[in-house]
Amino acid sequence: MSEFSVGVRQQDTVSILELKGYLDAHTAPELEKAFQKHLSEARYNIVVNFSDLSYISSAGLGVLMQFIEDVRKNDGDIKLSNMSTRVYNVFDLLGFPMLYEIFKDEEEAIGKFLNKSENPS
Amino acid sequence: MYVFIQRALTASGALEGDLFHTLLVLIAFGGGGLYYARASMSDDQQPMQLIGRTVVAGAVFLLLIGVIQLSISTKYTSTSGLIAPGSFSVLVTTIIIATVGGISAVVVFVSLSRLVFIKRRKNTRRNYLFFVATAACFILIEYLSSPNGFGMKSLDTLAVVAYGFTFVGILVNAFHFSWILVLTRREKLLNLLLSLFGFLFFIILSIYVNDGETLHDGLRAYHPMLYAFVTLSFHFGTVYMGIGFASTLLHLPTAKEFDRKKMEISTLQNLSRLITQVFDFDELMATTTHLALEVSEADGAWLELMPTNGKAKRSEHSQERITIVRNSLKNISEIDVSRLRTSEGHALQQLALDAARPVLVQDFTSDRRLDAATRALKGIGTLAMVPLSSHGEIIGLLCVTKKEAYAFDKDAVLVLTAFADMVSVAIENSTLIRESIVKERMEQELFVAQQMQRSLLPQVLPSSPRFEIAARSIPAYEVGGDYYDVLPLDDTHLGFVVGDVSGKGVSAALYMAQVKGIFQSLGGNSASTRDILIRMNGPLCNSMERKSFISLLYAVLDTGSGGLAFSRAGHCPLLHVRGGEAHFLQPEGMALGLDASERFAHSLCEESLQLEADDIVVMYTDGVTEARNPDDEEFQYHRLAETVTMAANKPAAEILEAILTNVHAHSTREEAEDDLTILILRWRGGV
Repeated sequence: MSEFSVGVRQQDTVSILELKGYLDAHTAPELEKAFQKHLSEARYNIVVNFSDLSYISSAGLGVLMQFIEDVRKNDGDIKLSNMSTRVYNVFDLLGFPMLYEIFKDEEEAIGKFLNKSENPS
Repeated sequence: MYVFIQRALTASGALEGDLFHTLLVLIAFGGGGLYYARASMSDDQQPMQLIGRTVVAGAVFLLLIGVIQLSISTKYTSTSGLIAPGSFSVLVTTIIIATVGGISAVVVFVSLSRLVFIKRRKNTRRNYLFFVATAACFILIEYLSSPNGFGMKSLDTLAVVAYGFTFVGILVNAFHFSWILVLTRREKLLNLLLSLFGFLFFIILSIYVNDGETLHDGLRAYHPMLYAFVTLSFHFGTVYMGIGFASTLLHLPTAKEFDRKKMEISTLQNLSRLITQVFDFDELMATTTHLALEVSEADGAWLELMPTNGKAKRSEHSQERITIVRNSLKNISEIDVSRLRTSEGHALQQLALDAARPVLVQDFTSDRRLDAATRALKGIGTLAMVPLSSHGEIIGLLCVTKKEAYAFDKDAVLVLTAFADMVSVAIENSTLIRESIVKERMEQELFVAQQMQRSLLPQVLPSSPRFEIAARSIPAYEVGGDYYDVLPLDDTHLGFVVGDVSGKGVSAALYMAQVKGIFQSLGGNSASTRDILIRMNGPLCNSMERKSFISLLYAVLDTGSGGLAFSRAGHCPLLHVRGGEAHFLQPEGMALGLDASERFAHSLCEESLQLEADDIVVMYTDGVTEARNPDDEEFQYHRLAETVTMAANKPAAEILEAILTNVHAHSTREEAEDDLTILILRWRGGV
């Protein structure tokens, strides 16, 4: 079946997860592991870059839901960026844009994190 | 007997050339031959029985001769070689000797012949026939040459030659001792004794029959052919018993070893029993130690198994306690086993687990590796612990004990190791079977769940001249997370629900059942579709896992006016087709179970639609629009819209079939990836 992988990059205090391939019920545990690792290392500023993701199922969305509460409790956030139209439509249909900040560009999302930590309001 | 006596009485003189008498002897031989033929029909040729019978026959006859020798003097007159009884009493004695001698000779001859045929080979029969033929020649020549027979002196030399051939025949046939090999040690000892006695008896009888007055003269006086036959039988007996004694003696030192090998072989055969018992794990455990006792001639045995045997693979070397299998304990108590300790205080079993190979404690009472209390344990002299392993992992231990110290040698440990390997396989098979049974049960339960889930969907859809409804839900797996329902709210209102629980399988199915429950408790309410969804969200947020959510479309039809109000909680847009034109209606709203706050209510909008005659409304789940073809292309909204538009003037049920046909044609897969649900409402308008 289709492959899925998570690449991790770090920029200042922000972790960037780059998703690649198909995110469905079979591959969701992979993303789950990546999130668990970040949370256990107390890294709560996370940007998920969807540029190479070709498909996301409800199980994939479930992973985001699973961790968002813990991340936000710790003053962090999960921000989403670089979605293809196909992937964005799935998010949009379910009303996720109301729950997550979705950016066109990864830099924008990172900037949002960094600005916030520079001038804590 | 009467004939014998009458004959003897009337012819106390020479018995020479007496046809009647000769006939009698031949009949006796013939009878013996028949007896042999019949006896060899039966298959149970027990060599020990035959040997015993032979020895007894010899003993009885020897005893008779002894008694006669001691009690009566037997004088025979001999005139130019012709032997005749000296008196009437001697005549009677002669008849007794001849009768008993003849019978024992037949018994000896028959028994030995049957021994010869045990484990016969290709030329056994040929050799035997050679012997019988030469023996017959010798007997005949003896008859012709003997003064008591025809007295043809010139044949004396020929008689010697014939005897020589017969003796060769005896020798050739007497070397058939392969049956000794398979005797147990005890039987070999018995055979040694029997053949020794047999040899002694027959050599005495042979000497007597050659020289002894009573035997030699008596038999000769009676009939030379009988004499010749008895002589040959005794010689045969002597040679056979002599060689038998020697062979048994040679086999004796290896008897014990042979017994063990035999036991091993039979145990290995028993292992096939072990394999068939894998269906009953407890019985397998009991049989295993039972066989272990047999294979190692041990006094006690037990099995211990790792708790995770055959289940999930163990992570590294976690400290798991190996546990004693209670019904495998043989001649040792669970308490004793659990008290076995090393000198360092660990469980003794740890020695074998650490070594990962068999551990042998040769002298249990003085081995330094054991602690004092363990050494004092009664009833154990030697202890062997053999690991059971599967795929390179130790799954348990097979332990055997013997009362005496130094009771197991290297070979015994090797045999135990081989045995342990087979036990491991049997245990593994048993585990696999158990797992497959569990799997089967789960499938059974899943089937029940499937039936129950089907019963949650409406069995009969409402129908009316004003509208038509068709609906179908097809789960991707046994049970699915899709849900639809049509609820009569009051006389003029019908509620339509189509929902999709995130994820698939059993958990999704359980949430689906919950949705139905909540819906039924809220649906009868005349609140707006939006309010109903808002009320549902709270309980669902509380009960569902964080990562789960439900998308749902709820519509209420006014069956009088044709007005349709609907709200969408993150669900696929509603498809409305009117006059060949398709519209997807997607009012705002996020999925249920995502957010418990005000945000949900805030996001949700209700929309409404006034249906006109022949309008078609399609509610569905993403299993329709996201059905992918091998090129990863989804069915998408536009294909759905086209399909419905094309079939717009057909009945609702046919539109439904058209969608299903096209989705299947698109995906070309045997089994759907996702649950798929379609609900079609066709409004006919006022009639």
